[in-house]
Amino acid sequence: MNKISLGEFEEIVLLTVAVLYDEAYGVAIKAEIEQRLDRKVSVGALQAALHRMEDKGLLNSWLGEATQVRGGKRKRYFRVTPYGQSVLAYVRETRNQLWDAIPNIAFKFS
Amino acid sequence: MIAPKPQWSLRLLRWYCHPDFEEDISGDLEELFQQRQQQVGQYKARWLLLRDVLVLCRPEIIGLPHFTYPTNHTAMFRNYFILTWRSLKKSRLYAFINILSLAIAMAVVILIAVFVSYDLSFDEYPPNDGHIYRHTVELVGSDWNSAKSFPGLGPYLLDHYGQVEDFTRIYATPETGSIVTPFPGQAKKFIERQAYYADVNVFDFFSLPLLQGNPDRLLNESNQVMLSATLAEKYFGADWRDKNLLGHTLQLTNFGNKDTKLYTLSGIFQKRPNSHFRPDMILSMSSLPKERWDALDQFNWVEAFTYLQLQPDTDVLLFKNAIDSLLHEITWGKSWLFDCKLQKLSDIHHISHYRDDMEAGADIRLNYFLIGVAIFIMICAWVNFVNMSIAKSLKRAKEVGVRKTLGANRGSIVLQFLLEGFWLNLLSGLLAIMIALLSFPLLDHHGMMIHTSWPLQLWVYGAPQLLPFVLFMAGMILTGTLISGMYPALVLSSYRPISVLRGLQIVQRGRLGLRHSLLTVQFVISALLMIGIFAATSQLNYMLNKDLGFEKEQKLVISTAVNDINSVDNYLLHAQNLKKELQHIQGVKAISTASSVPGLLPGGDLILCRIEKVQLGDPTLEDIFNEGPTPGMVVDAGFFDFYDIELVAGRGFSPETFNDAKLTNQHLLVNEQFAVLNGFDPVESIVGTMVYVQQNKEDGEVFREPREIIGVVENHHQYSVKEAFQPMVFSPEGTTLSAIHFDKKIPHAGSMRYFSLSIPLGENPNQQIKHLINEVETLWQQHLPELAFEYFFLDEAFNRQYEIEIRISKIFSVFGALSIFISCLGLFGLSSYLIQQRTKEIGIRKVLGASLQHLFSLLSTNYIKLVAISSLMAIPIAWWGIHQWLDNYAFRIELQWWFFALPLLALLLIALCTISFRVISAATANPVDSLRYE
Repeated sequence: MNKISLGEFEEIVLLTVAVLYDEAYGVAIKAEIEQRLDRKVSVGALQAALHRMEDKGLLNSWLGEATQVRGGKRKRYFRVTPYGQSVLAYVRETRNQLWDAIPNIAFKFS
Repeated sequence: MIAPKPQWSLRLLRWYCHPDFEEDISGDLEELFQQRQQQVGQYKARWLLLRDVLVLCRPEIIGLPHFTYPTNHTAMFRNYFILTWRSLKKSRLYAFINILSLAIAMAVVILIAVFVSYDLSFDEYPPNDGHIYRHTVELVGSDWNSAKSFPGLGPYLLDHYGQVEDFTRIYATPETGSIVTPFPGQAKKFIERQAYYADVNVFDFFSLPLLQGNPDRLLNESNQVMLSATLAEKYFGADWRDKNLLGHTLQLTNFGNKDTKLYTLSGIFQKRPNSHFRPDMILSMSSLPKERWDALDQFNWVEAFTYLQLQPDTDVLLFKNAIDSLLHEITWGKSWLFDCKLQKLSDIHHISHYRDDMEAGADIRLNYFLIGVAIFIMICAWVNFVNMSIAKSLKRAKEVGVRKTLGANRGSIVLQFLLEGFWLNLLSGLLAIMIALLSFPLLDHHGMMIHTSWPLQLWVYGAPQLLPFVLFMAGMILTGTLISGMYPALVLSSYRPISVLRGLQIVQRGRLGLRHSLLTVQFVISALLMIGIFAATSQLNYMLNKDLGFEKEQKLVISTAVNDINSVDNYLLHAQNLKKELQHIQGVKAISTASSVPGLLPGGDLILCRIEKVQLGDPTLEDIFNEGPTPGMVVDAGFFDFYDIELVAGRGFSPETFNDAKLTNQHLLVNEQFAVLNGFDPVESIVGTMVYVQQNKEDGEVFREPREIIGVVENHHQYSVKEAFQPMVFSPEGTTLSAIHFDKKIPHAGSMRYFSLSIPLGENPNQQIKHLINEVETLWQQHLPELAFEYFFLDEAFNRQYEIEIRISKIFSVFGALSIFISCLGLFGLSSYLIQQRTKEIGIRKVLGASLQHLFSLLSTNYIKLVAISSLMAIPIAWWGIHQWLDNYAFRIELQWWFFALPLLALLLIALCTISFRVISAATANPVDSLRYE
């Protein structure tokens, strides 16, 4: 897994998709991130990240049913693939290892 | 400020977004928009929507597959362009030479392409489907021929041969021209020489765009006339289109005063410049005088240009043979055989050089020659380009090294230099278009081009078109890029970064060899053209100045149409009186009358007859002299003195000959060629030979007149110097050589058709001629009021047949000079570059005491050697080519050694001058300047 690089924003988006599970589509993801992390997310950055990760195989997507809201346009739902999950796990694992490797003395500041 | 509508923003998204993602993203955006409407209001939500759409415009969303590359490419191309521009700016001289020579060469190619496409487009336009042929005749066994045919042939063929779908005939008005009075009753008159009678269906064969008139009722009644737009403007003013001209009445006189009639204007057409048929006036065939109209289904004589529309599957050769045997059957009692030719309509312009044709025609070889010149010049320019790029390559070597170190592969470096070549070619192409446009009026002026509203178009299917021209230009620029850019690109991209960056000298030997061989090619081409120019000009001068065997200077010839003469009672009597009075006009030195004049082209009515030797003892035994007919003239007593044609043997026509009618009818003179062709050697031995002058009548009846050959005169060029001498016979005035007169036993009226006046021109020739013509006109009106006359100067008329040669010589000179100029530009650039590289060497040599001469020879020997080698290589090719060309001429210059030496010497001098500019400035420079900077 040495080729994998996951950007910080990508990681957040990927995790949020997992959080939302069946309801992970553009507006919902954006709202969830904005609410939980208290930061602004632009539609452009979000969509670009989603598609980039789908190309990499971390996500897959499908189109939902048409509804009356949104001008009759279908939603695109995203879900984390097993590969995406393993990447997330890998990232978390490496962070944990790093945390564990920090000597106690390192964070003693006074 | 009005906020953007949501639909508008979404449309923008739809435009760039990848179609797979468009639906859900725009759905998301709409949902967000609705939320925001409630939170922040309609106005702000709209702006936020637009912002989102703009921010969404990213490669992932647009759906480009490899989003990192395109931007990179654009940047690289921009960088290539900048580098091209910088390197051009850095070496202005080379850039200038490169672009200038390319631009001049391309301009030449453009002009030649336009000219050649125009020349090849003759008679190509619809309705010509490739199956229209013109029927022309040639008299077997002589070089007499005609572009016209028997008027009865067309109808006969249509009736009897399935291969013929249709025919049309065009009947020329007399060469004296058609006298037009546009407003009958007014005195204003015009003489038009391009007037033709034509069958009703002439427009089915020639599409002459009709500007006014009803297409169904153009020439279907007698006394109808159509005018070209040019004539309409001449007669009715520039605003003729606004006037209602159809139905206007004009008065025309064609075949003598008896044929003066009123004609109704039934249409106005546009002439086609690229057709051999360029009429100014078309008259309905049925307007012909009655006796000519009656003879339209006859085979009396060749009088009408005849065009046949053949079935597509006709075997033209077989059909021609069928017509040949038909002609042998039905014309002229089988004793004079006519062969025919079927000329494809679109070929007529190039293959037809009949003396009585509608236009002089052109030589297809001129086109091949021009294409060759264009290729030569283009090669010269490309050679310059390659040479300059290689010379400059050292300067660019470091750049290539750095690029390669930074990861450029060979392909991208080749691409860079090809692109550089492309920019230069493109720039030169644009410049070339400007040069061509500027030089176009000049060529137009010399009659080499035809003027159109936008001259730079190629002629396809008879009409000028822009698209082929654009394609041609694009093709030329791309070919040029590949040919001139490929080699430098490959050389430059082959440099190894390590050696160029370490500053090692790149081995240049091989490339120097290539540069030198390219220079040699250039100078071979220049030498060829130079020798060609010299030879063509010499041949032209030779022809223009050759002794023709008769005196053509300051001779005014007055004549009238032969058919009209026969319609006047007692023409000879009137003519004799006129002759006496003309002699007394002030300024006329001498006068002579004859049935023709020497050196006369169309309408130079020579009388064709057969000469038979009288066999003593057995008069029935025929021994025909001079296989085929012999041309003859009836001349007056002063004719030979007048034209300065000398008697070689025997005696001439003495005054007694003319006084004694019995003697007159017995004498005949021949020229040397006649004697030689019939085996009399020496020519004197023919004197005293008894012969019959034999003529056949239309019904086959044969007439013989006994004559004695009393003398031999020197040869003269009856036609152009291009042709061999003709055998000829001369009969004294008062006798006849032609058939109808044998029959009726009357003197031949045509024997006094041409009045030649010798007029030594004074200080004010124009005034003198005007005055003279006025006097002639007055006298003519007194004696022969029924006839129209025309006049011309013999030398002008004679020299008109050298138009092709004059044109070739002009073109040769212009293009030859251009190619030499381009080669010298290249030589200049290359030598100055190499000298610049040797600046230090020269400085050191000077310090050590080298003299100017020494330096000069050191620097220029190489190039002089190159030019000399090129010249040597050019000689055999030039010798062969010029021989081929000169073989077309019966009388030609002999090739001398100085034909090659002089032009080559000139070339060498030009080359030397070119180099010495730089050499001298380098050699005289102060060595301090060149050595200081280190």
